[in-house]
Amino acid sequence: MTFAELNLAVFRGERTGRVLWQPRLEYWYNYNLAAGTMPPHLQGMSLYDLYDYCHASVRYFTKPLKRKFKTVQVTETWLDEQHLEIVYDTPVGSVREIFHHDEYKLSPYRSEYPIKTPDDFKIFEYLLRDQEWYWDQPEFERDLAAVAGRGAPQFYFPRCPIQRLFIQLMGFENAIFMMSDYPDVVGHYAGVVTETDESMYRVLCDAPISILNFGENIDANMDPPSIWRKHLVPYYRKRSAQLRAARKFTHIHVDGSFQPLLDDLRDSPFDAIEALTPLPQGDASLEETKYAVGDRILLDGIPAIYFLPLYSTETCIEFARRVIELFYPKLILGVSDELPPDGDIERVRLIGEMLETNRY
Amino acid sequence: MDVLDQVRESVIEGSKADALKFTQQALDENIPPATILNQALVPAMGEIGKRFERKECFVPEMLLAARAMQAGVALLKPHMVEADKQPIAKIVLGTVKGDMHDVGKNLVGMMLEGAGFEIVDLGVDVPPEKFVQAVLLQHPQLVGMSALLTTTMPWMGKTIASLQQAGLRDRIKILVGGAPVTSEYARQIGADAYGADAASAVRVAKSLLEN
Repeated sequence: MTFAELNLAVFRGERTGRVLWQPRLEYWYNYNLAAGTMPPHLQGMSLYDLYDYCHASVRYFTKPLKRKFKTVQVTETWLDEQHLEIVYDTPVGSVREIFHHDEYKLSPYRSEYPIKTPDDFKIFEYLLRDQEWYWDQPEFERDLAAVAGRGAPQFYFPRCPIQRLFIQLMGFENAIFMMSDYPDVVGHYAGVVTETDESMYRVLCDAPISILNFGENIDANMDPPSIWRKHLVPYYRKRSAQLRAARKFTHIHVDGSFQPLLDDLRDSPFDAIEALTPLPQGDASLEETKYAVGDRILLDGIPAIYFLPLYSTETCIEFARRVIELFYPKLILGVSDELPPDGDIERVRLIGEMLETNRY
Repeated sequence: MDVLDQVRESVIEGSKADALKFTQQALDENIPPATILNQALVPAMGEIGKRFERKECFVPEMLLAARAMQAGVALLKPHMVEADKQPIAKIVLGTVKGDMHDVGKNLVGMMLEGAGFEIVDLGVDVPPEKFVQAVLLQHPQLVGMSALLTTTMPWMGKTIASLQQAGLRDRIKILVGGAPVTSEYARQIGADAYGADAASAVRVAKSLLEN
């Protein structure tokens, strides 16, 4: 059975006797390559070679959902070595965002958000109505061929309206203030996003892909129960139902604090939850994590800090065993949430070897 | 409900408009600014901090309350005599080198300000030498560092080492926090304390002053 077949089998609820090991290694690989800190015995390896070295499956390797604008002009300008300005020009005005890049250009961060005032929402509405979504089948087929069965295709797509506002469009603090000061403006914006996202969801429903990720980056500090229940869950229920009707499996990325959301996650409409990070790095125990996941599948589960020298290899392996014990067969084991660049790749390989040889 | 109660409630409810309105009303009623600060605005933030620790409110409510409090304080400042403005301590805050995350740090700053601390906020991506310079120039009692990435956490230890090298370590207490940071990590790098969140940071900061 290939990793791709095993990946799908887990979502179909099959007991295969095997645990799929699917840590996300891209950032570790790209950072160490750029920084010149790749361990000597791994130099010259491609990313997929590294996954094979670690006996690991690949989760995200394709992103065939594409967007284009009919009339909006998008201009990208490097202001200096680190700052990329993107300006969206529309007939009703322009908005600008600036990305701060680190020295290796691997981890961009918005240092300026596009929506700053209530009036900017009108410009953004034009942008939303002007966009078109399509599926790039040739790119999808190339990606499938390259990954060669190492994982089942899946990807994340634009967030729900409020998470998009928090993370991409305004920044969390300003979005909270905007929601308080101009609730009607934000409510209208959320309605426009929901309306214009329909075309994206049509493409997703028709896509030749079985698993889709809501890349929401949920954190209870940002999304406490009040915000989750009022602003996020209605959207998630609507979209999950659409995708389920189109025979898709779904998972949601919850990579921050989640202890206040245990009951809400247990009640959520997804087939799986990705990136939940238990103590000591997160704020909920492994048992509380199990409660939150309920009948769903857990993707990941081993805190990333267990791959740092701060903790022993034995501690890391023992925790992996506990996760397997608690969650198998509803488990795709991985690092919560990605292996950091200073993480020990040999621990990743050790777990992969363990899962290659053990049966459950 | 008297006007001080209304000031308190407006901060707890997170209403900047009401905080401004009732703070101005209190001033118009000739209530001393220090009284408005110490009996309404500061206790309101204290109450929010307690509710946060009890998980009865969360970061969005804290942000709105802090903004309301800051609005009230800004209205009071021109009316306050120098003695009334004395903070209980000064703290230099920053997110360490390579890290651009600031929401947690900002919230800690707001909560500490609400509790009577003077904040010197160095911002984000702060290298060790900038922390050293700030300690030299500002003479704080405390230094607070935030990191949200496992790759930037090591800069906390390097900053502590730089402060040690500059002969400043004994002059200050250091608290650290951020998602991947743990109390064990704080101990290992030689910090004096670890703050799990913004509300506990106030409690921890105050306890450091007592020791």
